[in-house]
Amino acid sequence: MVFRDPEELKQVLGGFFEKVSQDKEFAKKFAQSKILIRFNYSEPELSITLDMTDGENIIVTYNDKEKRSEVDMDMKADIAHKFWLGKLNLTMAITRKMMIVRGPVPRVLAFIPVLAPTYQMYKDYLKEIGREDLIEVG
Amino acid sequence: MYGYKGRILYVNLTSKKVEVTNVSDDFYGEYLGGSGVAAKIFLDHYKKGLTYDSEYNPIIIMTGPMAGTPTPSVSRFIISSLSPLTGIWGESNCGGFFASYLKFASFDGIVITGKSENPVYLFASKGKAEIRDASKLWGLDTYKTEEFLKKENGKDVEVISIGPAGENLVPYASVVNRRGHLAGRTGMGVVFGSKKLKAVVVQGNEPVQIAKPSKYKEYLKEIFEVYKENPTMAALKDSGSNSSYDLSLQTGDLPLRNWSKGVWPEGDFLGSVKYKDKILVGIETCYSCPVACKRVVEIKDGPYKIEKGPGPEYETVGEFGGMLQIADIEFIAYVNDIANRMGFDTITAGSTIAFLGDLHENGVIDKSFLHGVDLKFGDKDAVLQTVKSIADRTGIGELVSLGSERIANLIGEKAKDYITTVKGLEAPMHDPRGNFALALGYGLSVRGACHVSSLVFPVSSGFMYFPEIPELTDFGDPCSEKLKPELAVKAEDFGMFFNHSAIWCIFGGAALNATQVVTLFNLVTGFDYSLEDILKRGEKIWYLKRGVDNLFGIESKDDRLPKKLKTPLSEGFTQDLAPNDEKMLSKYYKLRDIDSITGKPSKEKLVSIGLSDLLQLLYEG
Ligand code: SF4
Repeated sequence: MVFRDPEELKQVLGGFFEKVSQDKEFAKKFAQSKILIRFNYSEPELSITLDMTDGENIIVTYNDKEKRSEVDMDMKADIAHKFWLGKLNLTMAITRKMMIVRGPVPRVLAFIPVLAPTYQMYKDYLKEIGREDLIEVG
Repeated sequence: MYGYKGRILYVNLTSKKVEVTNVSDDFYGEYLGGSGVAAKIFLDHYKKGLTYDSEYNPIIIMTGPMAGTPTPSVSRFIISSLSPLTGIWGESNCGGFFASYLKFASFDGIVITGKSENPVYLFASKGKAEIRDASKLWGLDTYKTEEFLKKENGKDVEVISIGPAGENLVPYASVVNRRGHLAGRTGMGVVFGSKKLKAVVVQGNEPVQIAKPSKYKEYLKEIFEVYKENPTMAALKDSGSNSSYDLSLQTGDLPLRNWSKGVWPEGDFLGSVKYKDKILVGIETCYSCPVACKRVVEIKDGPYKIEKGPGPEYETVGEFGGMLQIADIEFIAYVNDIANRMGFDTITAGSTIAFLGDLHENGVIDKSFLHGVDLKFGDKDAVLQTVKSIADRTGIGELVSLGSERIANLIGEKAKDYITTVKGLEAPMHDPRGNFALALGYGLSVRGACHVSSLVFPVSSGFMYFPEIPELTDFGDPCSEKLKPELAVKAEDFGMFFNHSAIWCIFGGAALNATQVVTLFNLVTGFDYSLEDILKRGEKIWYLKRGVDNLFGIESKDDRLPKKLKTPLSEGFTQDLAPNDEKMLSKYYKLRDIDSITGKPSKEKLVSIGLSDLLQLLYEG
């Protein structure tokens, strides 16, 4: 397991999403999808919701049961980490059900073009928070 | 007979003789259908010195046992012949509606030999067939040809036809059904053209018998549920084959600028979002396929105005977008429309143009070699002028119509560094530098560089998953040579059944696992095959095709990737990566019992799998 417990997962992956949300220009690109997407992680367990419904901002919440998601993606936290490092074969992960998509697939497809720069951002972010060790773990 | 009709139509265009041959269950039980059957028929027609335009060179059109049944994504057919482009085994696979109607007309397949003096078309209906005059059709594009033949024979017919490219013997001419379903690769349309065969028309309503109808019906319900839940199928329905474009661009799977670049920011303009926004007006499907991945597009105004019709597939977007560096989806749709009407393969056409652009950019050739066209990457006008001249082979079209390998031979040694072919066929839009298994997929493909000639690409890219076959489940890091030869062997053996003989669609078929496809095959045909039985037959079919290639001079040196495809890029997702195909091939030859110099299967191997007829031809002349 890459992340020891939900707290560490929240700090690293949650922290990353929050950082992305603070980058106004980038957040806007992401938010163009106007989607409310929820990542349900296991091992350790945590759900992170990204609310981009206003088309401008990304609002990050944790274990949020209030907001109704349009797309849910279920995966192990290790898979998510590998994904943001750009080391995961997304097609294979979906085919082999390592990542389960619930909700309209086209909404997820529309998201893919904006992802490219995030892989490097995640690596930079890990360095920034002193967690280079996680770059090799993926 | 179940699944199969048990009848193959034999037509000789020289003598005008039309005959029907009954085929036994045992024969189909061994060669399964599609290109398994075609390879055996081809071998039986083999003569030393056979050329593509010889009257003995057969056009073999074959369906599989599932065509015409309600089984999803499998009503397809293959066309095989000696390829005019590569000079080896030629094969192309096509969806649409033709395969089902051929079965409804009471035939599993058609074998056409001989040569007609005047243009003709073949009409097959209710177990009978006749050769008809097609003089009025010669010169028409594939859209008009189909329109004419439907007017002449009624709306309830299905048509495959060639366009001017096939008539003018452009070596990569295709055969087209319903405008947008193409048997595109290896130039099967040229063999039609050389025989003056403009089209084949089929008509009928005789249903396909199912061996175990009630169990089949029940099982089919489960299968349709599988389709409903599969996210990849949803992506295909939403965005067609181009649904993979964005990911391909990001992960270095899409070749750029004749395989020379790793990054192309403008490429974002060709993904599924732009496709939908700018050109999409509808969707289409093939017979009994719930996926409906075919796109319908229209451009109402502007320089690339086209009427409503089939939209470009991923491969065409890759060729005329990434390879030629043109980030304009309307332009690509326009080019696609020309290629469909004229009837030629956009992969070979796009790659050949990119190859010439690269040679030009690097000073290997000049403008005069290009018939005065200033062909450059990103230059829409020059590319369009080139595309428009392919079918009638005028100006630069005369050059481009040759395909890249023949052009490279004209230029000599200096061109070799720029070419992207294996065994004479241009590689499609998937890069082995980020997926080393594909070096074997391309290198060993029996029809030349191809990503669907076996299941190496669909499995190694993660698009397909067959957990029942260990070698197709665990095959290590994508960028290591380890376990790739083992993957290749099984991907070939299973692929010979899956998308070649049963002829499942490489897209729609991806929803299913091995158990499901074998079960469906058994329920339809009444065979009681295990996965092992299927793999054994797939193995035999693979060796048969490999042997045919050997008969036409293929040796192990022809199994290598061209330099271009194994030169690491200095940027992008696959930076500094490249497969070592030598290392993988040496292991592979051992697994296959193939001689590492001659490239031929050993005598012992051929005897052990029941291919003594091939052995005689290969070793005893
Ligand atoms: S998935 Fe697409 S190409 Fe394949 S059979 Fe279905 S509609 Fe035809």
